[in-house]
Amino acid sequence: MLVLLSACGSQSSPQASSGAPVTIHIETQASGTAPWDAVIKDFEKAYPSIKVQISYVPIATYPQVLLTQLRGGHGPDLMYGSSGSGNPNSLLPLARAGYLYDLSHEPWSSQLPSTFDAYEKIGSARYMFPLDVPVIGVFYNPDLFRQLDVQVPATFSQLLSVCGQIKAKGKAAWVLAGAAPPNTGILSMELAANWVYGPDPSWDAERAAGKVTFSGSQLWKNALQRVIDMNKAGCFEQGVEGVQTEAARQLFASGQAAMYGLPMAAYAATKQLNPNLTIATMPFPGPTPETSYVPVAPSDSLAVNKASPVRSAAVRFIDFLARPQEARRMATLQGAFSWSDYKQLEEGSLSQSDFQRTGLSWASGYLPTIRAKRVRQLGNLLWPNGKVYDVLGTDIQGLLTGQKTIDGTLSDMDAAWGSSS
Amino acid sequence: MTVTTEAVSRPPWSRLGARTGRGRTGGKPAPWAWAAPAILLLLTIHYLAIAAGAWYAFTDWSGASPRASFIGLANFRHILQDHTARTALTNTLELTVCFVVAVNVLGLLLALGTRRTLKTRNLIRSLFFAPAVLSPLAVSYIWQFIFDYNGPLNFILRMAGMGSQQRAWLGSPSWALWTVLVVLVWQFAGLAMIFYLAGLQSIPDELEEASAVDGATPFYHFRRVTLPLLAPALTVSFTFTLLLGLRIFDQIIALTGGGPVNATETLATQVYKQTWVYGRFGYGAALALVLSLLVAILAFAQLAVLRLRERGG
Amino acid sequence: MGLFRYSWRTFLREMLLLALAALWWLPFYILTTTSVKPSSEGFTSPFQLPGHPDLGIYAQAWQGSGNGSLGQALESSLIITIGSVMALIALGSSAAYVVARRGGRPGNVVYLLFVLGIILPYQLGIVPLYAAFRRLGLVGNYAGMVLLYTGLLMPLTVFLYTGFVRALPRDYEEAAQVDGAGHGRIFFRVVFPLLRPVTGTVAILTGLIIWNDFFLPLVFLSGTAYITLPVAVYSFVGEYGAQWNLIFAAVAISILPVLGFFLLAQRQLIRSFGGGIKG
Repeated sequence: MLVLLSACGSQSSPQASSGAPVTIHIETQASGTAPWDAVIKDFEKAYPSIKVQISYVPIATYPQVLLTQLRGGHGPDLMYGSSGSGNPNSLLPLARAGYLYDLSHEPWSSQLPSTFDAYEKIGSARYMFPLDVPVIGVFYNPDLFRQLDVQVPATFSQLLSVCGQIKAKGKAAWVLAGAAPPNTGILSMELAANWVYGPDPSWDAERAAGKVTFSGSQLWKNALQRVIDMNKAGCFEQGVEGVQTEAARQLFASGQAAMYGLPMAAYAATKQLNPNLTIATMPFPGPTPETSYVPVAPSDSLAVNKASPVRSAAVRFIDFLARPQEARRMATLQGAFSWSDYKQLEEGSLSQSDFQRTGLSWASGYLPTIRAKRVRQLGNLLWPNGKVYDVLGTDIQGLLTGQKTIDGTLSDMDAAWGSSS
Repeated sequence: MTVTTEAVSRPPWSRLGARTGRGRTGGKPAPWAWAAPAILLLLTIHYLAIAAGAWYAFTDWSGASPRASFIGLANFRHILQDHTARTALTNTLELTVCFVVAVNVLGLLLALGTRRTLKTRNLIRSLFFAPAVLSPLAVSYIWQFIFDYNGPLNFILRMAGMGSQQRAWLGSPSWALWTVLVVLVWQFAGLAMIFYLAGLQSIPDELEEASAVDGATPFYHFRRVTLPLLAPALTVSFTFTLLLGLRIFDQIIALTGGGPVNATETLATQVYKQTWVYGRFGYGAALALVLSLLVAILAFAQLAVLRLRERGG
Repeated sequence: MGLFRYSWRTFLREMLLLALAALWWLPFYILTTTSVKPSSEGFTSPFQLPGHPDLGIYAQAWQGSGNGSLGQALESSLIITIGSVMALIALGSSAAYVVARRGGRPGNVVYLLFVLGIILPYQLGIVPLYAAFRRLGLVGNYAGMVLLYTGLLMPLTVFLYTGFVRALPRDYEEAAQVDGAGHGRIFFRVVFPLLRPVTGTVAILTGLIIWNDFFLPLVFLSGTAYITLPVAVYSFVGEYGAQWNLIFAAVAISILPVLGFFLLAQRQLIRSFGGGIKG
């Protein structure tokens, strides 16, 4: 047995054959490898002395794996995470705990749009690089609308009447993964952008200051009432309360459902299920076309481990990624805007032909909204802990099954807000 | 030859034990040194490491924050007032009791049924055992697909003219827990069968034949001859399935995530959520300790009852 | 001898069990047929045999995902599982033999410590263990995984063995002792062979737990080229959904080795020591 053990052990530390190359280890969630493959290949070509080892961790266990390693004193050199503090995999709490390296002196840091600061900075220190900037809106199937002879809705009341028409023709108007809090959460953040943050962009700051509460907010009641309205109008697919992400994706990709609320980054995975599917995009239909907002945030981020023995190589990898062409390459494969393209979009300096070149022309439905600056925060990322958003997502399933009321949901969120230590 | 073996295998201190630990029939016990590696692993990997981690149950640590302050028993007091924890406890007990009973009854019947004489017994056993081989995640993928609203189960119901019984099985507040139970029983009945098969193998044929010759009815024979001899297997199977049931986690997380709204939340899923999703490591650790205490109480109570039965015949 | 004859009632029992087994296998039927259907077809007609079975999906699944190929994962899983199970059987059976045969207060206390070990929340110990293993150079290699699993599953192993050793009559050992055999000889020649049914149970149970675990390999092997099968299979499921056919093909590949092992070994594993036929 001992012989066997030592034989196995000797295979462990891979020694490089020539020169003195260093290996940097990236840890990320398992959700598509193509973007990483592409940039790692580019990077290793540009820096032959640095090897990149990447491991993909299943999403549900990612926070657990990452924290265990960091606590055990041996985290990855570069780690993926969500910006802000409102998700289980959020990076700001790790920064506060002293695990992350301050990147604010890197050349790209000062060029990032200032709207990103709230998600990425503590004081003047920036702890992460935005891998991409997804807009959260609606994917719809234009062929199906044409085939059913139904108009694409531009306002919420149009949406409700479209729901009835599509249901009458045997399809689902809106697919919702009702049993998957991440997806019910996304719908609620689209509603919040339109009914809460649209009229009151500083609502989260007021909540953080303790001036307002969810349960006392008419705006939030308006937003959640829309879920019930959509359910009553028959918008959702049959058995919505039991549908998981995989099945929901399948319904939309197979042309059984007309609309699906998703972040842009879901594009590649959806196309993969059905390459012939045409996907078009639009902002969530708000009260009027002029008051329809989209939530946008640099959510997918990459941070450097402060204790990494190869920290300078790790920082070099991020600097490489931050170059506009590389950033675009990665973001496009992910299905979202790069930080630099998004910045130009916001400033209105990205011409139509430049936009075509980003490879994201399918997302042109979001352009007028972005150019009109009807963009709002992805509020949940800025919330203090992962519980508030989880409770919201879970309770929306409860709104569908009748286990929860709007008031109950909102007071659960207030309780969760205060539960963080 | 034998002399050398004996000399090597019996270190001097074993003679000490030989006097005190002598069994009824006077055999000399094996030396403790043989148990040393296992005991060492037990003490370090279990007791030492867990003691180091259990400290956090008495702190308010978030899991990532730089500091953890000692807050005494506050976490444990909080559990008593935690509504979700109470729901989780009820669900855990309901699910576990039903799981243990169903799996063991089915497992025992399968073991008795495939015991001998059947030409295809190996095939049948393998078929029933196969689900136990699957990883919890694989099981969850398959059944998520089966229970989907547009999936095979509702398809069967429609074909059978029971279209009104179609539902979102895993999204129904009143059905979700039982749906999860079906999956668990499907997965583990074959495992219980293995325990009972191993137990049945240790029953000498002569005993069975003697009873058969006496003309005992099959049920009488089972109660008076087979069941008492199966007692050790019964103990192992009940204990193992009890531990399994109380700590079922992966399947629930993958099938329902504890939903809809806590309907399938168990203590194990709560431990996970509090620790890793909600960022309350200290509270999660306290919950984990409470769950272990519950497991200990139930397991020892069950063991005591089963051991009594074992002795009583 | 009427007990072992194949009568019409036996035939009925056989048919009934076969029918039940077929029902039990419906999920596997769905698994395999769905895996070779185009991903859009799975839901529309779940029981239909695929019109044009696409076996290429298995080749695609075998290629694996970003973490590595299924072949590599299979190798890692086999090494870790077999290594740990062998260590568990060797160290656990001998420990249980001592604990059971010693009896008395020390024996009972040690037994109790092992049983408590099954119950304690091992998750709480993972962070300290990870830190210690890292210092000992046991992170990122097979030896560390084998040691970890051997330690974690030792309580269960000793619990299972002890119960069976206790039920074992001492007559054989005593006879051997009278013949002048030492402890080593008695254990290897007499006791261990008698423990075969429970060794089978231990191998199957611990083997399955190790084979299917994915959290510990993720933590302890990350940053190396090694991944285990469950990790590889899980990697097929991305954040925004997945292709059922690809996942199911990967699942099918991952269960084949274990199912095959059970089919081949069950005759050996569940063999009687009482005498006679059976199997």
